[in-house]
Amino acid sequence: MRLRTIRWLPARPWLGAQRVHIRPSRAGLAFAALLLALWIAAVNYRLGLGYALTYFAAACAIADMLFASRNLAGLALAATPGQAVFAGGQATFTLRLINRSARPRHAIQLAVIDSTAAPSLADIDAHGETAIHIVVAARQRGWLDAPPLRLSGSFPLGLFVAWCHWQPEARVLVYPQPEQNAPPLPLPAGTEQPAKQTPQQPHSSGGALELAGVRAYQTGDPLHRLAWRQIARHDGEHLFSKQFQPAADAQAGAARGSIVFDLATLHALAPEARLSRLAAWVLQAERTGLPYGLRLGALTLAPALGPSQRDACLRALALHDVPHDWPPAQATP
Amino acid sequence: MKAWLTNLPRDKADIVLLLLAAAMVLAPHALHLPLWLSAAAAALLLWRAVITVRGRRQPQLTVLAPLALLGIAGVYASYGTVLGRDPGVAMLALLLALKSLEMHGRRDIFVFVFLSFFLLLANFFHAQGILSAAWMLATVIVLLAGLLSAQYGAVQPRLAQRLRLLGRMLALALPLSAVLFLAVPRIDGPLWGAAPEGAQARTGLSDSMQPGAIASLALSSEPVFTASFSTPLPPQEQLYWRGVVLGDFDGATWTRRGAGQRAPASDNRIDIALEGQPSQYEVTLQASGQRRIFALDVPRSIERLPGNPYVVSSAVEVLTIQPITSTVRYRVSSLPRYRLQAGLSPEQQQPWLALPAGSNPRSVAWARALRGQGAQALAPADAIAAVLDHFRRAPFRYTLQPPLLGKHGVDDFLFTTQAGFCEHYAGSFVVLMRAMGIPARVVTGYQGGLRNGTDNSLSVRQSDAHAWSEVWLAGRGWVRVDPTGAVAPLRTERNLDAALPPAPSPLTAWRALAGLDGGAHGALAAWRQQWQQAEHVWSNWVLDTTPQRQRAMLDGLKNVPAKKLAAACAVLALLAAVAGALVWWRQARQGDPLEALYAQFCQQQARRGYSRAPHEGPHGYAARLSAGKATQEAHAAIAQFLAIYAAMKYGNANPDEQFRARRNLRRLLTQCR
Repeated sequence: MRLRTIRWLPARPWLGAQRVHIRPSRAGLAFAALLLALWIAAVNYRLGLGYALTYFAAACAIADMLFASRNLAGLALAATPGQAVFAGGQATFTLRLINRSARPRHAIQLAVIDSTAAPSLADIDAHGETAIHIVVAARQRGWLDAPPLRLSGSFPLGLFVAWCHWQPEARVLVYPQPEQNAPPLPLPAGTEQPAKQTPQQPHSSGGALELAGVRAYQTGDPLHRLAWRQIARHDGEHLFSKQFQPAADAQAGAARGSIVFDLATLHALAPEARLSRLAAWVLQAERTGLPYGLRLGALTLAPALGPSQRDACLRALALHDVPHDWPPAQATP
Repeated sequence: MKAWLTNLPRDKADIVLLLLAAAMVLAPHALHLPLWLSAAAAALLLWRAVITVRGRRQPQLTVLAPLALLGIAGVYASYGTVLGRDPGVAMLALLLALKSLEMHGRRDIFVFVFLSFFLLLANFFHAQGILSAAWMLATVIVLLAGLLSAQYGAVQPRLAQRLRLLGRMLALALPLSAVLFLAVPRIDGPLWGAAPEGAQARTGLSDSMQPGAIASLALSSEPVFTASFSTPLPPQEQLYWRGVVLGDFDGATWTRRGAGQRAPASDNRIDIALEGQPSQYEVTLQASGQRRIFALDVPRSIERLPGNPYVVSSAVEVLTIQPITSTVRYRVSSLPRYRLQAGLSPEQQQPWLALPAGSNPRSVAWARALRGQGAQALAPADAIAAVLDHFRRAPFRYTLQPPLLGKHGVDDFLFTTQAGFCEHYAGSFVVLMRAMGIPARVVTGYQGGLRNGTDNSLSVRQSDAHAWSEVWLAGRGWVRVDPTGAVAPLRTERNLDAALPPAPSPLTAWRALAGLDGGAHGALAAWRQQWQQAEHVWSNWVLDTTPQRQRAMLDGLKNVPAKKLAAACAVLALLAAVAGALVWWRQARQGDPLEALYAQFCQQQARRGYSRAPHEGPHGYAARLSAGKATQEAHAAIAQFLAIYAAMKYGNANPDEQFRARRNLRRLLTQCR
């Protein structure tokens, strides 16, 4: 992550020619030695055509240098954040290399800096686009930034390597790793274990939803849920979407038995283990169809059921006590 | 075949391309390499091709290493060494062929290509003509195509597309290499060691004359020099380009007088009187590796060569101090009539009268009898006429394939075989003269030359090599006598091939067909002349860019008047600007034209104070703009623009509709302001 602090590591999704660096490849250095040998032979034997061949080869190398840098320069880069994952899993970033020029680009290598994994190879047609998936191990809960990448290519002749660094502006939310073999749900006294419910039930029974808060826009959020006021407040630099949850009156199920997981009750465990257990319980409650809520210190999520509730809870767990530097993504209480 | 090639998997197709390049690299070498080596290299390349196409495994190192050792042993057996230029080239050729069987990764391909480049240069040790250059260019293109193809990622486009990309690279590289070729300062080689072997290995006149020496030259059409006359061309029978004067005869071989000693100093003044209209000409002499420069009999003045002074021997041979290892150019002025050493003392005549004792007794006796004794003895001029008359009357014949001669060569020639070429006639003539007591010597050089139709110049080739004789007459000095002319007058009046009777040997027939023997007539000859002129220009401008010439060229640039230089710079700048604008325009046009129009629109609105927010789509933007301040028409245009844009961007219009829409948008753009 040290690399991110370097200013020239760009995040802007456009590869200007000034951002493409170039150096001779190992074969290029050997070629330089060959040129020297050819030149010496031409001088020593006074070969007029020997000079011609030497300079022609040198000119081809210069042309190769130009073409190698043009192979990268002008490429548009975009990153798509992937699905949230649980810690211990693999986060996938989808990177799009977009070619807005009429010349195809070939053999571009995309590698994670400081990683030993084999680089991915991309060819992009004229006016075309190629998607590359980068898989990164998600170790810690919280936000996982896309790793800094290195784009390089030695096409067309392989005598020069053109390269540049790219910090894709994308991140993936990593949920806490659910505890394995977690204890059963801490059902409050008097609530009976509800019979298996179909997941649609809360939606079909209630239907009405109420505004739960605003969070950073994620791909897949429906457009009609964009929080325009918040967007305008940030001068349009970030997108937010409104977060809904089943309305209180729809939580009739709560009477039948709903459950609120409270972080405070788990004081016996280590801080991370508590979050792991809560994550396991959230999944368990979701599976069993028992409406559930969450209380994390000052933050409270009212009991509800459904994928959005599940995601909201896991998100709250993932971001609990995580200092964030990028759009405030708290669910407003 | 084509379908088969396109169906090859791509890595195999790459290898086939590289093998083709290697074959093209090695093909010209086959003319100079030992036959077994050429055959072995061809077999190895073919082997690799079969392995590639059939998809077999490449041979193990345990197979290749013995092959390599065997090859080295073969080179040693052929050359007696593995060091030096020619064995080195042979080893490299072998290495390239073997490397083709040991190509696994991308790295090996680079090694293969680099080796090929070096062997390509090695070709120029032997030939640097236009054809060699064209072949080099073709080979480099195939070679680079192979290298390029190997650099593609998973996708490899068709060969035509790969070649198009290569073509774009070459379009950049070729002018660049021309600039480098002309502008990069040359170093006067060699960097180390003595004069290179390359120039010395040439054919040319030697300091001795044995039977057959000139005949072998006559089979070579290699150019020797070109003479461009600023005065009218002298008639063909006066075109005797003086080379070596041979005075010592041992019964079989003619050698230069005192060949074993140092070159005669130029300070003994040569008694020479010249008259008549001088011929002025410039000679462009090819590198010969020898120390001889040629001029028409007899030169009055020869311009000094830079850095290589010459001396003139008493027999009027012009010898440079250093061997000529690159093309040189010098101006000469010659006079057709001269009186050379008219007053030789008897001691000075003596060396030109010597004959080895006991050799060619029959000829000597015959000559003495012909001249006669005492008062009835023929005057020298009459004796010469009598001998020439004998050559003319007796059934002598001119041939480049004379029968072999015995110990007394002149006797055999004069009385038995009576068939030979200039060497035989000149040599036996001088023997007869000396037997008669007339000082005489053999002169070798070139006779004639091929007129180039358009300019006032002559090309002289090795096949114009000739030998004639000079006799010394009291009061007249050395006089040129060409006994060959007595037998084959056409040889001196026209050309060698005119003198030769039509010999239906397969070799000569083929040479005639190929235009190699330079017949003076017909379409072939005309074509040949054009070609020779092209070669002349080529050697002037391409091969002969010596440091001196380069400096002269730059100096010439300095002398250009400032006004002209400024005009030239202005034209160049204009051209550069046009080229830059073209590139910029092309780049600006690249990308989605619809997006470009939209960007233009947004810029326009931003200037009016309504910049588009990044999140704003066309509809939202349209709504905001409709509230802004603008004229009625502008509002309408803006709304229409954004509507069309949105329809094109998010709808699925066919290309035709898109084209029309873009035209509309462009029109609307002017109304939105």
